[in-house]
Amino acid sequence: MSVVTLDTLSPGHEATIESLDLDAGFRQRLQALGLRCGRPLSVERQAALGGPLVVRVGPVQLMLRRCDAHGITVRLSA
Amino acid sequence: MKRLALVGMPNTGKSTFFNRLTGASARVGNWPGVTVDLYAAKILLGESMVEVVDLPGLYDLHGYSGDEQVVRRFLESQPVDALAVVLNAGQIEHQLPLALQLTHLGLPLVVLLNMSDEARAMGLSIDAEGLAAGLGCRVIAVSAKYGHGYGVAREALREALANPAPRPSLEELHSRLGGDDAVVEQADALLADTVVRPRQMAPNLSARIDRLALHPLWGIPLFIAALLGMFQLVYTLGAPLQDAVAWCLDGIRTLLLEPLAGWLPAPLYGLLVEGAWDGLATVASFVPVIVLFFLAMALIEDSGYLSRIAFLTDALMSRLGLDGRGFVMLLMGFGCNVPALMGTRVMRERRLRWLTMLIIPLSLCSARLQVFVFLTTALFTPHQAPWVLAALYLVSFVAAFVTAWLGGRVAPCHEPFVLELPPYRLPTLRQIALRSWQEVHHFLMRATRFIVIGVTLVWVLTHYPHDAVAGGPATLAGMFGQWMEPLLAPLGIDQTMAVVLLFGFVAKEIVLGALAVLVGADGDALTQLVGTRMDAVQGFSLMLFVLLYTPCLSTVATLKSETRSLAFTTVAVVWPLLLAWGASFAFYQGARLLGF
Ligand SMILES: Nc1nc2c(ncn2[C@@H]2O[C@H](COP(=O)(O)OP(=O)(O)OP(=O)(O)O)[C@@H](O)[C@H]2O)c(=O)[nH]1
Ligand SMILES: [Mg+2]
Repeated sequence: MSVVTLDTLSPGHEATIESLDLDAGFRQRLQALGLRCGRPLSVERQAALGGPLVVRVGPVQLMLRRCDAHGITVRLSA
Repeated sequence: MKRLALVGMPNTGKSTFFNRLTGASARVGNWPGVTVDLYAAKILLGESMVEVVDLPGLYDLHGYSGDEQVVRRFLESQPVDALAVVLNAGQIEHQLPLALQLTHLGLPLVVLLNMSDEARAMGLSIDAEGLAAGLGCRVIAVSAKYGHGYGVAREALREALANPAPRPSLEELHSRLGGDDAVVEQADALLADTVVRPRQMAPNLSARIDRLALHPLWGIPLFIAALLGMFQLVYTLGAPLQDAVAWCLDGIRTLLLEPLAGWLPAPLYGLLVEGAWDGLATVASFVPVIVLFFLAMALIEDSGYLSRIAFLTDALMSRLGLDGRGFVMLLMGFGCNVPALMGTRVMRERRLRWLTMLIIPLSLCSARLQVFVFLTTALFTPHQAPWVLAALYLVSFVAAFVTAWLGGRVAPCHEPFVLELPPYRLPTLRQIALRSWQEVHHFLMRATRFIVIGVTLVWVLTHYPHDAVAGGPATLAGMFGQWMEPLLAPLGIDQTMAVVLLFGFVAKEIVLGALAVLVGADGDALTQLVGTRMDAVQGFSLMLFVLLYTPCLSTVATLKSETRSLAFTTVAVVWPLLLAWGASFAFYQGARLLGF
């Protein structure tokens, strides 16, 4: 099981959040939306031309830019 | 008077519940951040009057964007007697921590598990009693949109307000507005006991639509097609309705107004009938088109497609130094630029927000649409007209992109952001009716305030001094026109239009009404006369200018109040003017060079 940053995942991958190395305010916002350490997430799709990702956390679908997703490390599910 | 505040995360249905409770018409839309300011209404609840306050959404009590600050400032500075905490039941796992945080404020509160219709459809089971025990307050499953559980909720709110709990002092509240991570553990423990979610998610419609709507290849072409389809529909349905209204207004003029006002002295008759009435009637004949247009906008706003558009356009917008939310605000600006400007409050980074606010006034709003529908009908064949209109929308986007790109060079900015993609939803008929009524109301307000005054003034300026030929060079308007001539002639714009454009600064609809006054006709006669006054190239040049030049007065006022910066407001007024002049000049001279 490998630890990678979220922006490297492609659609269909599932993973567990390991850490959020982001500015405090933004981390707070993500946590309020359910992106917390230890929670599972999956990458649903990604936009063309280096555009954002759609990430599912529980019942919620969120759009995240890849550069911001770079600050999120996840552990890939087997 | 007692005060009840509605709080909750963005897009949970606070405004929908507020509307149901108070009969008000706060704006509702399937986009997080529709409400960005306080909105209050008074109702009789039980025996006492209660002021109900609809607040912007907040993610947690540390809130850091402009709209969240509004909530915090409100809670810190205004005495509140009870809170109605609105949660999206379908996302209870993410929303419960906020409810727990709010219980720490020590105010009487009622938790509303809203969207219980959607939660049920997902197969989610929530033990409201168990939650109530854990939270120490009433928990009620409701559907603000369809009305389930509304009676119970209203009763619970009345009780919460009736039981006079000791109001925590503002300092106390302030100190409790902190927050801690312990609530998350507490929430998880509570959820484990009360919520059962089916292991397998039912295959839902939203996911299926998204497979097409968010397709890497087809997503954007589909969006463009949807946009074109919408305008085509508004145009096709609107034209006959517009003719019908124009016919009615013309009837009122010949059957009622002319006999009634006939005895008035000529100058007064001219002022009232040929000035105020003709100008207003010409603008008013566009009401059906505007209503249709806003119906379509309401449908899009409530569908949840806006978030998808942000997703599709973010790659492009990020290269311009903006983000997908900015593009959505441009689209919202199609209706009216003012709410779109307010909508940028969800952006935290000031440079990003200001840059977005700089481009929104370039978005082709419904007031300008009226002018363009009129001019394209007068100057082009029915076959060409929709394409000319589409070209104007394209110019509007290009102008916004160029501005963003230049602005991004001057002040590059980046703000990390996350946006929820809510499920697709359909508005109810009630919601649609409410929204279109509001637009008509809004229009009538503008009409009585700005438009009548504007067109009347134009009439005066084009008819005085009274011994001058109406609309001629000796009138005040004529003199102003001569003065402006060196600036307008290179654009192919007739100097008599100078005064019209001057008043268009107040509200763009005035351009249309003033045109009627200037030409001295309304209805079909006006359309024909305009066709003889300018050719297609001149007409398009004029439209380019009207599209881009100085934003209207309300927009400028909003820019000023939202940024509190005179320098920024000046740039936002002067830049579009330069852009408009440059674009019209390039187009007109280019077209003439090519022999058109
Ligand atoms: N299915 C369903 N949809 C609802 C319900 N209540 C609200 N909605 C929809 O949810 C969306 C958001 O509603 P709003 O009332 O604008 O939400 P809000 O909490 O005021 O949102 P912000 O002002 O952005 O914070 C709209 O599309 C509503 O039609 C409900 O009970 N059931
Ligand atoms: Mg709202």
